[in-house]
Amino acid sequence: MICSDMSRIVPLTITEVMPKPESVLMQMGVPRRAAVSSAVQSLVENAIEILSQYAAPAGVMTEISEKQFTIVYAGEGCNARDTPLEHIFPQARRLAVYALTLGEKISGKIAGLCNSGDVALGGALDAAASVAADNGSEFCEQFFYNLIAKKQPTIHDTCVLAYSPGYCGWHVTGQKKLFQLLKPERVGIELNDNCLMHPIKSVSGVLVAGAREINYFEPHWDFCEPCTTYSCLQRMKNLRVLAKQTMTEEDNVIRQENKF
Amino acid sequence: MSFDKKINFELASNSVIRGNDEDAAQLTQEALANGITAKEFLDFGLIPGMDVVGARFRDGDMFLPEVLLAARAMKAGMELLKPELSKSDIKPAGKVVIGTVAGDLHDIGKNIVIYMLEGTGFTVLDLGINVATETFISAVQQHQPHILGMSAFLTTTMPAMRQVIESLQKSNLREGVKVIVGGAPVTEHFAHEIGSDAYAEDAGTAVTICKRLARLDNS
Ligand code: B1M
Repeated sequence: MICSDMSRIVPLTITEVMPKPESVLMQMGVPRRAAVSSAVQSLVENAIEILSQYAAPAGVMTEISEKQFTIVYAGEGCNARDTPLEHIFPQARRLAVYALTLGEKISGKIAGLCNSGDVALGGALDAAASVAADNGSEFCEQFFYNLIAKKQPTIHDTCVLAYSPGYCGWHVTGQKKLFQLLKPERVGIELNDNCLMHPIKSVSGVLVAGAREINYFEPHWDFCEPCTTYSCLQRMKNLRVLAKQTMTEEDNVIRQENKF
Repeated sequence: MSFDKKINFELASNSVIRGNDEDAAQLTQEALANGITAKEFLDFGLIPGMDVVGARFRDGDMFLPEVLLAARAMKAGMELLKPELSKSDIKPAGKVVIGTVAGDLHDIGKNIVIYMLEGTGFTVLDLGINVATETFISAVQQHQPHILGMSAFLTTTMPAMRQVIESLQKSNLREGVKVIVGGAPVTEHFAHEIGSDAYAEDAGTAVTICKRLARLDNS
């Protein structure tokens, strides 16, 4: 596995994390394509507008070796006995740990709205900020991919996927070692004794770059049972769609080449 | 146009269901100006609307943003009723002390629960986030609520809920207060294990359960 000593600030801006109204509605439990009133629609649009004024995204990323990540992953020894990630990361081509935040001002604004009695707008803003934080993770995936692609332009079968402590059997206390290595304090993220990040709209994890197939698994572990999100299924579905698209693009190139 | 009490109540209920705070406020003003008591308007105008919202939310016919707008409309009416309600000796549905446990900073879930509880007539004292065990205990001692509510966001902060319940027992306060817990990683099983009286997975359920717990306590 290639590993360069690479630690960098991720150039995250509000543009990259801006959520779509549909995603905010889904975050608030509204099923995809469900009809909503114009009042709900404008509540969400208002929230997104406020988000654009108050969020101050910042991220940091450090490329690490498999050996280093083995230590990070082991964390405080609290992981589930068998997890998807422990099968995935040894197959990775490159790995990086990352953390990002939307900053403190947005949480202050959410709290302010709620304290002044506008929990409707506060709730919508909270949901918008949660989606934005997730979008930030996707930006980090793309950022890492682009870094790799710059040096290796022929990496069609490679994808980058983020995994976070607190998900899929990787215990949330795994953040301790991750923070020791990454030092996200430099972008204003602190970890408390209970492994809660401050500011609250923050995400931490590992970026796994490798063949798409290494990320496919069946969610049949013990810890899957109480999971409320099953977001792994959507992530795997996205990868499969991407794989199909890439194949079609490659087919087209071959077809074009054969024409001439 | 003459004032029709029945129509006013019906329109008020609908304004809550539709989440229209301006209409709710206007209809409340109209009712008060026409001699309707705050209690009557609350019981036959606003609360029936909120009851419909609660039921539709439970049945999956209404979603959180709509519920929040409904609660906002309810609140707009309640604000105008408050001065009269405080003069009369109408009892609140129950008194709740609530907070996010020590080490935890997540509060939107708790805030939504509070909003819904207040919207259905509960008096709620919000202790905020990162609330120390001792703060919960002294709040129970001082305010003698029917219900103590605790919220948590991560499994690592959930043990603080157990500590609070144990401290209530040690301070001989446990018998006098019902405990309800909630938050993303909290489960019914965990609630039972730590000796909580109840668990609610969302704000709508929390309201239904708190109504039941307060009634039990009042009897
Ligand atoms: C008193 O009586 C009561 C009764 C009912 C009560 C109550 C009290 N309190 C709440 N309720 C109930 O009623 C409320 C209203 O209906 C509800 O309140 P909630 O607060 O649950 O609901 C909110 C209104 C909306 N819901 C939420 O805001 C949480 C939704 C989920 C998907 C979620 C989100 C959105 C986020 N997260 Co994350 N996140 C998850 C959540 C999984 C899930 N499906 O719940 C959870 C909580 N997160 C988790 C994790 C691990 C993490 N998150 C993180 C980050 C994030 C985002 C920033 C992306 C985002 C916002 C976080 C925030 N605190 O604002 C990280 C931690 C952040 C931090 N600051 O430390 C991170 C650690 C991941 C990482 N390594 O980066 C998991 C915790 C697992 C654990 N072991 O503890 C998690 C369960 C997801 C999972 N794995 O399934 C009910 O719970």
